Amino acid sequence: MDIAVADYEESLGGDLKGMKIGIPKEYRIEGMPVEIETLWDEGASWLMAAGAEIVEISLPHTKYALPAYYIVAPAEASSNLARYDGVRYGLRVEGDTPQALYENTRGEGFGAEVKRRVLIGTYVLSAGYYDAYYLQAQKVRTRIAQDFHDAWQTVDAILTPTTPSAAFAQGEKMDDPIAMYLNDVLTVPASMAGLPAISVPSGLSGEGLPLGLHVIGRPFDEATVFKVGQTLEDAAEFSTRPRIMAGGS
Amino acid sequence: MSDLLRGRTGEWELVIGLEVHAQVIADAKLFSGAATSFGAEPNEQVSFVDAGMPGMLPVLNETCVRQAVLTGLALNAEVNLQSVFARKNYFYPDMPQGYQISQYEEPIIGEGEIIIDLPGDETRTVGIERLHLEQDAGKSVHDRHPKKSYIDLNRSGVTLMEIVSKPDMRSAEQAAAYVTKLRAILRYIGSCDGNMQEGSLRCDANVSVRRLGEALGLRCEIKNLNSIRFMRQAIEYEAARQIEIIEDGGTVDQETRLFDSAKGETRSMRSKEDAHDYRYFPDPDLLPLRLSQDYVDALKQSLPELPEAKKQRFMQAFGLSAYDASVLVAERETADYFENVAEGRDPKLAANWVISELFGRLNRGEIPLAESPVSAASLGGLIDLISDDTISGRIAKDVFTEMFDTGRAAADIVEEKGLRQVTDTGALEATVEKIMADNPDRVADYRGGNQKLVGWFMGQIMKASQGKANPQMVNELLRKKLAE
Repeated sequence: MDIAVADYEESLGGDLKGMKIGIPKEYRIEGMPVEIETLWDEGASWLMAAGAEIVEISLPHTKYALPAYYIVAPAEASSNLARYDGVRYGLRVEGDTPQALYENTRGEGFGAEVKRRVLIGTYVLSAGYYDAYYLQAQKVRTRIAQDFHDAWQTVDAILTPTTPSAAFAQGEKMDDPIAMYLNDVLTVPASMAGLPAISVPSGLSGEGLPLGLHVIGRPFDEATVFKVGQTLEDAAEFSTRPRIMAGGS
Repeated sequence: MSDLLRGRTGEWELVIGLEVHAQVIADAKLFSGAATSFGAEPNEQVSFVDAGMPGMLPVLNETCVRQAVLTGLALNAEVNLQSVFARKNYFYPDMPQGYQISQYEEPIIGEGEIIIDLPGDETRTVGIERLHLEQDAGKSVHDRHPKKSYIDLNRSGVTLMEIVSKPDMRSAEQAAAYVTKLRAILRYIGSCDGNMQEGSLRCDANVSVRRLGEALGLRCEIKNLNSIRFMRQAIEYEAARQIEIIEDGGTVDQETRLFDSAKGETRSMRSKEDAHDYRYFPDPDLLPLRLSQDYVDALKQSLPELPEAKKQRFMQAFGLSAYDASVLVAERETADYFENVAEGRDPKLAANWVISELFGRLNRGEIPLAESPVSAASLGGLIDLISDDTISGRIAKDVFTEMFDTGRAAADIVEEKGLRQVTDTGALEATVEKIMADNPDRVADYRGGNQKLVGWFMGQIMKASQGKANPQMVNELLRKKLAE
C-alpha cells in the first residue's frame, strides 16, 4: 500500500454535517448492562447534535469474531514469542542442552496467560488442526471484513460501546478465560477486519469505573475516526481521574 | 545406455530428485538492509531484523524478487503472479526469530524444466517442481569452546532460492549433469554465483530405488551436499545401501541422512518419526506478493541468451558437435571468448584451439579464463597464421606455448624465431632431393613396392626443415619425385 499519511489535526473541529454514523444491531449483546446501553444512546445523540445522521446497520458475522480472534491472535503470538528463547537477549535460564535452555527460560519468563496463549496458538497451527482452526478462522475473518465493507457503502463511521462491562480487577478472571476474553467482543471485529478504531472515555459506571465509546472507521481513514472521537470527547466532558493520578489515596 | 544398477537378485532403477539451495546475488538480505558479502568478521552484517529483536518487521527486498523471477523464466517455469511468505516454526540457536520465513503453499515459481547434457551427445529433460524464496539461517560454531557454541548471524536472513526438481533423474551422473546445468543457468543470468565451496549452492538429494516398472520406493533425503563430487558419491553409496537392505529382505526407512565425506558413506540423522511439525502459516507481517504481468514480461525481455539456446546456435551456425558446444557454453565468459576467437575465422578450428589447447593449459595451471595470458584476439591472431599457411599446425602448438608463457603476440614470436613455414617450391624440392640422394637404398625399397616408407621420408624432411616445411607441399613433391 502506498498511501500518504493524512494531516490528522487538519481534519479536527467543525461539525459532522453530512456524515452518516452506523449503529450495528448485532452489538446489542444480551445481558449488556443498562448503563452501557444508555451511554451508547447518549453518544449517538451527541453525534446527532453535531449534525451527523444515525443509521442502524447490520454486521451479521459479528458473533463469530471473538472465537476467530482467539484462534488467530494466539497463533500469531505463539510464533511471535518464539524469539524469547534466552539465546540472544532478555531472561536466560541456563540448561545443559539448547532444548533445556529454551524450556527453562520460557518456563520461568512467561506468565500464565502468555503460556496459555502460546499453547492454544501452537495447537491451532499443528498438523491436522490447522485446517479446522486457523484456516477456518481466516475464512471467518474474510466474512467479517466483508460485513464492514458492505457497511461502508452506507455509513462513514460506526459507533459502539468499547466493552460490554466496566473493567474487572486485575487477575479476577484468570480462572475463567472465556469470561475474560468476552470483554473484547466489541473491539475484536475491527481488528480482525484491519480497520482503524478509537476508544473515548465517555462516562462512569455505577461503581465509578470509566466506560468508553468506540468509533470504527474505513480502512486508512483515521482522520474521520479522530474527528468523530473528538466530537464525543468534547460532548462527554470526561474529567474524572483515577485517584492515584488525582493525588488522592 | 542403461542406467540400471545390478544387485544380487536383479536390476534396480535409481530415482533421484534434488533440492538445490542457491544464494541469491543481492547487496542486501531478503527482509533487511544488512550486507551479504562472504568472509566478513562474525556478526558484522546483522541488522535488528536479522537478530530477531523485538518489534522489528521485515521489508521485502525487490532485488531478490527480481532474481527469483529471472531464474524462473530461465527455467522455462510458470511465474506465479501471487505468492505468499509463510513462517516455518522451529527452535534452533542460529535462527533468531524462532521461525524461518519461507514460501510454502504458494511459491513464486511453479513448474519448469532443464535440459541436461549427458555423455555421447545425449540430452534429458528434468522437470522443475517449484522455486521459492526463503531466508538462510545463521551459523553455529562448535569448536571454539568446550561447552558452548558460538553463533554467527551474518548469514541469517540472506536470500536463498530453493529449487526443487521432480524425481526425474536415474543416475548419479544425471544428478551431476543437472546441478552443472542449473549452476550454468544461474550464473548466466547472475542470480547466484554457484560457488559450492563458499556454500552459495548446496544440494539435498532424495534417493530411492525400485525394480523397473514398480511404484516409487521409500526415499531417503541426504542433506547438505556441498560439491558435485560428494553428491555423486553420496547417491551411489545410498543406492547400494538401499538395494542391499531390500535384497536382504528388509525395508528402507524413510529418513534424513548426512553424507560423511571422509568415510564416503551416508548415516542416519533423523527418522520420519522425529520429523518436526513446522506449523507453517502465512506470515502476518508480510502481505501476499503480487506481481504484474508487465513486470514479468519486461524481465523476460531482459534475459540473456541462455546456455541451451547458445548451444543450439553454436551447433547450427558453427557446425560444432554437441559435446564441443556444451563445453563452450558451460560459462558465459567461455562462450563469449570463443565467439570472439571464432569471429571471421573457421569456427571448428577456433573451437578446437579454445577447448584443447587453451582450456588444457588453463586447467593444468588452475587459472581462471579471466586471467588467461592469451586473449581472444591474440589466439585469433595465431589461428590466422595457421589459416594463411604462415605456420603449420604443429609449429602453432609451440608458438601457443610461448604465447601462454610470455603473453606475447603470435606474429612476433614467429618472426623472431623464424618459424615461418617454408612454402617456396624450389627450396622444398632441394630438401626432398637431398634426402632422397642420401638414402638411395630406401628409395629403391619404396620403388620396389614398400609404399609405407613415404612416412619415414616425410619425417626426415620435416626434421631437416626444423618443422617449417609445409607438410602438404612436401607430401606432394615427395610422392612425385619417388614415382619418377
